[in-house]
Amino acid sequence: MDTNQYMEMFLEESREHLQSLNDGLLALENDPEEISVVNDIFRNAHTIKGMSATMGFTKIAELTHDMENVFDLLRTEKMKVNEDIMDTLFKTIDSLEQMIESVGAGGPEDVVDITGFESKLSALASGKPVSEAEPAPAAAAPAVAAPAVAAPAAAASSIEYSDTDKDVITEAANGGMHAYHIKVTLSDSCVLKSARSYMVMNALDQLGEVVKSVPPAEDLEQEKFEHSFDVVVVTDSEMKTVEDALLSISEVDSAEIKDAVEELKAFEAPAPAPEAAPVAAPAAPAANVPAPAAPAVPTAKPSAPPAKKPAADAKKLKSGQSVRVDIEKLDTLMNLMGELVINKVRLEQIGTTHRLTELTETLEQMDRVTTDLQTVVMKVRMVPVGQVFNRFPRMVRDLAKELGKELNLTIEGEETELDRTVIDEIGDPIMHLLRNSLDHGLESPDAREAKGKPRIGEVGLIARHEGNNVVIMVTDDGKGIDADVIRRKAVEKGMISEDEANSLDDADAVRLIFLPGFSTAEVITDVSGRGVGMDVVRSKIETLGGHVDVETKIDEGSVFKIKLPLTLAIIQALLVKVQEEMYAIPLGSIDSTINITQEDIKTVRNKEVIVLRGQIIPIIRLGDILNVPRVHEGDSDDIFVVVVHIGERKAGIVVDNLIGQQEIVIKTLGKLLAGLKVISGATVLGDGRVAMILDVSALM
Amino acid sequence: MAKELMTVTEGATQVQVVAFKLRREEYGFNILNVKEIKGLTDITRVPFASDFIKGVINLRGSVLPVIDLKKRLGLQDMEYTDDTRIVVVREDDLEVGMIVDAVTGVITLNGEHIDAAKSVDNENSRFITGVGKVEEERLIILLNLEAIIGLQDEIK
Repeated sequence: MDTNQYMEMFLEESREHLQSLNDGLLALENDPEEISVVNDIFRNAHTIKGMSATMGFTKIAELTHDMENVFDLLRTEKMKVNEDIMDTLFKTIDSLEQMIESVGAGGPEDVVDITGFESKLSALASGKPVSEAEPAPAAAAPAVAAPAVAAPAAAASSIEYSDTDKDVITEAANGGMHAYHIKVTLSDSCVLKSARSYMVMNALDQLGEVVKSVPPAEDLEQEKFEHSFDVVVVTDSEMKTVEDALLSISEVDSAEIKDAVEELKAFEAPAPAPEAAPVAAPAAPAANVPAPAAPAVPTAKPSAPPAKKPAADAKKLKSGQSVRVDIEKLDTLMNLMGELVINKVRLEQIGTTHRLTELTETLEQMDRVTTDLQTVVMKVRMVPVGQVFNRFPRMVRDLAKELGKELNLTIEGEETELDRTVIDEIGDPIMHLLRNSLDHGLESPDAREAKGKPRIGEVGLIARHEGNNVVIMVTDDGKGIDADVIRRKAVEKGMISEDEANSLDDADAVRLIFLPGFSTAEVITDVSGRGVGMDVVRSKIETLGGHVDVETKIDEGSVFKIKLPLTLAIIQALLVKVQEEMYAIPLGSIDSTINITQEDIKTVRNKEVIVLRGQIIPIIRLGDILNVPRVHEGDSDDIFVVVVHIGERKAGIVVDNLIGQQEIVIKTLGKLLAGLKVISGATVLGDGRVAMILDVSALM
Repeated sequence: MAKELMTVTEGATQVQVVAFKLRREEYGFNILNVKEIKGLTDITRVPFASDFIKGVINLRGSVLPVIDLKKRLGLQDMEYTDDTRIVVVREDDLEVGMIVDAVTGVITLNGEHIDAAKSVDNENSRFITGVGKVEEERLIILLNLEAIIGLQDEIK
């Protein structure tokens, strides 16, 4: 079988299941009594086993199988959770991850030596349990296999006939057909139970009509059964033909066939006991269709409660309906959406210039539709940040162990949604910040105790909406960042002069950690402060159109705050004109626009400033910064200033004219123009011309 | 592209180029790299970009960087005319527009009529892969697109 085309799916799903395994194990480690978790992760392990076996990755399948055995012992409570087991399981998952990533990259699966784990796992699986040391693979089977060979009476109770079933069976019998109750048992080693059960059902369908199956067909498809299932079929074939057909399907161990008509009859006799415990045999009191040979009028028992839903149904998990879509398709959709918006804006301009009221009115209608459409497209691309967050608990656990710190990680707002492109990029910066909090923020348990803090530190990872932005915060209650240490270090490194350092307030001094060059290996070891690749964090966040800031208090802890735009594709912007050039300033960073005259501009230490509501704001002449060629000579008296802010800092951008607010579609400038300062992208305007989008944070 | 031309010279096969004028000389790009030719449109200046990058244009909704080829090759500037064209070329997955003075046509060059770049002594020789000869007097300078786009050397 050519499995290549399934590789992507295999990788993606395996990763998801490994993630769930990690989560489950963490939950189990925190609360070893919570055995129900094991049931969930058992299923994850099982799926990985099945998938990898199908893909032909026997080593992965074997290792998962061994792990599954341990889970089985845990869930049947034949073994207690202990640290040794947990560590082995965690390491096994790591190895599985490596193996899966290796095959994903086209490499061999045996990148890690799994023999050690295998023997360890089987030692765990066989050594620990007291008396019931069964050979590993048989672990799950006996429980189900046992009733299968029991007396017919007992077997009869394993299936429940509804009135309709009985009618069908009776009718069939009257018509000279056979009705069989078949118990199909699949081999223990069968990994694709759903496929096998499907083949069984298919074979039976060809021979006759399947009346019912226990568990029902959809559960069979989802592998919600152990190794055997019951089917009732009406056919004109002989028992032997049916048996042969079923046994010819590989991995079908046995097909026990009984005559359903007989069974019904046998059923009738003891049935009249309406007090039969409903739990033990919910089928018994169901009803009583007379023996098919003599179709007498049914004597319905009013006392018998109509057996409706078998208990299994109640626990049915309803999974949300969803479709996996290639991200590229979503990108295309977004691009097309962008084109539509551009053209809409163009039409609007035509409508306005030519004063075509009819067109303008129609466009207003269309505007509503495109806005809705845009929201939907945007939403489709949104992914909860939980997808990124969920890998951190495991990392934090390992890192804390390694560093000898004790802490409690709180995660909030996992359901907050962000654009898919942002989600893909945000993982590393957050990881950096978390590592940093653990390594440099939190003190060792002893040091904490000495300061009168609880031994166990608190680290938080919080996401939430704030206007048109999403804010992600990494908090800790550690020692905080000492502004003086940072000042000294920055001066030592020659990044700023002594005077400059002293003129900075504490908050600004701490921000120096985001400067490139501050975070060298030396800093990490010498200074108690932070600085592990903080400039990398900052530049990453800024390329995403976001902003990172830090607040800190000595001995109380630090808060790193990442602010990200909800989406990167379409934003509201203010179009401004400098000489003959048009620029777009994202509305998100604009405070206000003001109209001043030349006299309002003062100078402080040779820098031009304005005073706005008592606040001194530096001004930036956009034309000078961007070297805009001068076409119009002479300044007009009216000066337009766009007041922008990044975090707490403000600046006024001087432009020649304000054109207006508009929805713009952000386009990248491509590889050739990557990494330009001050320009974050470009957009196509309604008239077809291109305008640059300003990166406000780089201007300030 | 250099490699492509090499095999062409050895194998004495033919190569098709899109020929165009820069001032009085004729140049050519391998036709396989040329995506389309369009007339001059509004070019938006990009602040802080390298000097040979004229700006960006709107190519059916996407933003395309445009290189001033004369500036890149160190040739003297010239006013735009009605003949001025933007040749859209593609190298790997990168698309770029090149401003040329006029497009003169598609020319088929025989392998044996192409001299390797070494024979052209010029400070810009790294941009040139060879010189092709058509008819008697017509010379076409074949350009190395990779070097012109300049992805491998640092953008100043």
